[in-house]
Amino acid sequence: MKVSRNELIELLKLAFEGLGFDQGDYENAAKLVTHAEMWGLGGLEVLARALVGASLQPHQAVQVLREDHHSAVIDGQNLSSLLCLRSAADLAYVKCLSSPVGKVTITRCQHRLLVFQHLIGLSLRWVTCSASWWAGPEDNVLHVLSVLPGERTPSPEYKVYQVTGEKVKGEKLTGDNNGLTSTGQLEIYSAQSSQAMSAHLAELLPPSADLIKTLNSGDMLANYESSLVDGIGVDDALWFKLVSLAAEMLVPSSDQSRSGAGD
Amino acid sequence: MNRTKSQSAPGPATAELLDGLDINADLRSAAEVMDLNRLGSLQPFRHSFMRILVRQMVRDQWQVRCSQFELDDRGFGFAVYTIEAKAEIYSFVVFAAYLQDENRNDRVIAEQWDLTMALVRGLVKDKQLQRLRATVPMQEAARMTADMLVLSRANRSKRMFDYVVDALASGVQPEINRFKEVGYLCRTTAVYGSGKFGMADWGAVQHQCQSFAKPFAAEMFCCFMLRHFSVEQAQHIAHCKAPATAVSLDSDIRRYVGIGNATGLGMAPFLIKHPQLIAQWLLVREVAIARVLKMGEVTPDRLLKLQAMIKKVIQHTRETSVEDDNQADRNSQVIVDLENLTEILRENPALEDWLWLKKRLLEYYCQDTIEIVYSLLIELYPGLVDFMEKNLSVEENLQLCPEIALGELKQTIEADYDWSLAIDFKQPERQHVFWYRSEEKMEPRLGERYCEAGADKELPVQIAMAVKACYEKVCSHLIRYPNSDVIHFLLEHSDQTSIVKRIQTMSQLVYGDIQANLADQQMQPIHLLRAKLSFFGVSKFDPKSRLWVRNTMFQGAPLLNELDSDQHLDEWYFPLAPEG
Repeated sequence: MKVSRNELIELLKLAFEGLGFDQGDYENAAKLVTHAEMWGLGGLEVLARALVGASLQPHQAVQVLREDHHSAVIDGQNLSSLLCLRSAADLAYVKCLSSPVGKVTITRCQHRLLVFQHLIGLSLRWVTCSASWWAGPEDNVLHVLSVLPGERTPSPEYKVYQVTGEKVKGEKLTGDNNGLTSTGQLEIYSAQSSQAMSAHLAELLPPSADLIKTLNSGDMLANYESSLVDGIGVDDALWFKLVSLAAEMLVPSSDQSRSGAGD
Repeated sequence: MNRTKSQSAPGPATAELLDGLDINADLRSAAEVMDLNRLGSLQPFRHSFMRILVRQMVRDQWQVRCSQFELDDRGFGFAVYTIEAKAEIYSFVVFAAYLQDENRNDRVIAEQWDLTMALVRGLVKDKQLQRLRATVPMQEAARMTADMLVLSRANRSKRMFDYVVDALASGVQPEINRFKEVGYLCRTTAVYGSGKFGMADWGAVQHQCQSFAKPFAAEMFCCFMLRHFSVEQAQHIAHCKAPATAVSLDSDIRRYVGIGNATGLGMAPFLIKHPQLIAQWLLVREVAIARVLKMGEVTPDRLLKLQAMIKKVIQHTRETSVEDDNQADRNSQVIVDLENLTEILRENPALEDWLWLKKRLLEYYCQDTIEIVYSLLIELYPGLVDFMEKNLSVEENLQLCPEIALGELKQTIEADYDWSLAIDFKQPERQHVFWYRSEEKMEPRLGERYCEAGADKELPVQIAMAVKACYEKVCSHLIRYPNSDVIHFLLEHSDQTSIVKRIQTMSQLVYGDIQANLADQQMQPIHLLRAKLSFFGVSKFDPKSRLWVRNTMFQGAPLLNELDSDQHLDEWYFPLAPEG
């Protein structure tokens, strides 16, 4: 079925509220999913996976494990990006105000693709930003999302690299590092200068990386506009699952309640 | 307290609006403008959406023709109208069905209607018409498509429709006095847009439908077309009933036929959910008032016109029939005030500026009168205010400023939300009601917290309480971390993200949040409805309880066949019944 942007955001808000998210979280999460879908990143598919797991347990406080003037590390507690990123992107923004590139690392973070709309949000503050994470069966696939601010619309890009040969450690946290592991690790970077960000991303990329997937800005924007104008395709089963979650937030009707709207 | 809010430098769009004005000296304060009682006195004005739409239709010479009119003798069937709006084509499709009297219900929870209708992009072909015929009459129960801008439904007025048909069929014009009581043949009970049920998203409409790119323009146009169809349908039935004697409705009476509207609580959460938009609408009205008061030259012609308009409003108010005692008293007071003002103006024909009038308004007259006179003053100076039509939309995005010192956030709350800090939420009556969505069509309703179930599913419309709770947490955090910033506060209190975003965003605007505790026992939801309806431009505000209201749209507006003439172009506010 096809649904509108507004309709999807409103249903998701209610569904997440039905799952127990607080207001800030459900408003945020609804936009993260919807925009990841509209920009062509498969946000709804990620959501469908999240709904069958245990990563949408709400109300676990964000824990900052480490912080200095240009970076911070947050424990994502195996929660979905819909919940555990909360203030992470905003923190990355604050970090870039006092250093060339601000960096926030979130460990034990699920559904990392959904960080995307946070980057779009950062770009509206006229900073360049990116996010990267390692995935794949051997942890050798590098995903990089980047967003440049723009006069009319932000300019996003998504690239996926396969790394062969030497095992890449990069800045991944290890078991020796205060007990943290690299599982589900996500890095968010922000910079006031696009040159600083470019230089940083060049350093991030291993020499043996092969580009295996690209979604360029034009493709992503076209996807967004087509979703806006023609509607967003949603799997029927997922839609009705969301409707049933949303129904948790509706109050059963009665004669008394009917009188609460005008009789 | 500040005259206006503690805003920083305005953005470019706001700066253009404020050009030549001193925010503190010339504009009314946020405390005054955003007060709920004041909002409940707002009146339609030159920038109300119906007025803007009619001017646009005339300016752009919209052409509307009926391409199909397939009604049977009883008026059941369908009609299709094609609209050429500059280079864009739209279709208005309406289905008329039989409805038993006992099933006629104004509530959103109704499931059958006399008329159902839609506004769609492009020409409607046969296959699409079949699809519309299958879905539009089902309203919320069906899925629509992205080529549809508006979905709506309406019911016949029990008091007027059959009466008018019978009169026309017998060859006489209906009594004009009957229209003073009920100024329409049909009453719409819901008008949906903005992507509901799979329809076109507002973002798509705004960028791809230039004719309907202003707020609620498509919804207003749908009601305008319904007004036209309701008369066509009544005339058709009359002619079928008595071909030998039937007459058509006299054009002066026809112009006085509007479209009825029943509005309930559904409109109220919109105002809370879209604070930037509402603040912008109010800014436009307030800037218009301020520009006229400050820059409007008083001339003998304008004084005479103002007196004529006041006379018209007095007559309009006399012709307004309401059952609600409070509204009737308010209307009576308006008449008393305006008659007094008429005398005063007559005795002071040499006014030099409008500030004298402003002073008199504030000293002697009720809030309704003040807002009416301001609406009239705006009419005198189209050259000073019409440029602001384009400023009624905003990009809505509540934006966090995470780097700001937490102490600064505390000061912002103290300056801009002092009204919420003053409320003692420990008093039960301050939290007496809660807003929620019913499982019946998700209809927004009000419940009593201490005796009804559902408060655990409360809608987040209690901004005042949320701000106060946030303030207390901010103060507590500052005791422990005096140099903290907003981001570190939110890392510890992530549940405050939403309200902090709102506070920081709204504090940048001239007019911020509506200043009311929506959980208060004494709160009047109808004030919220009136505020929004005034921006739509409705007249004959007729409360049926504190929860819902009937009103009239497009009464006095030009008819479809008059759009290419300027005879009745823009003088249809506060409409009067035709004489005779």
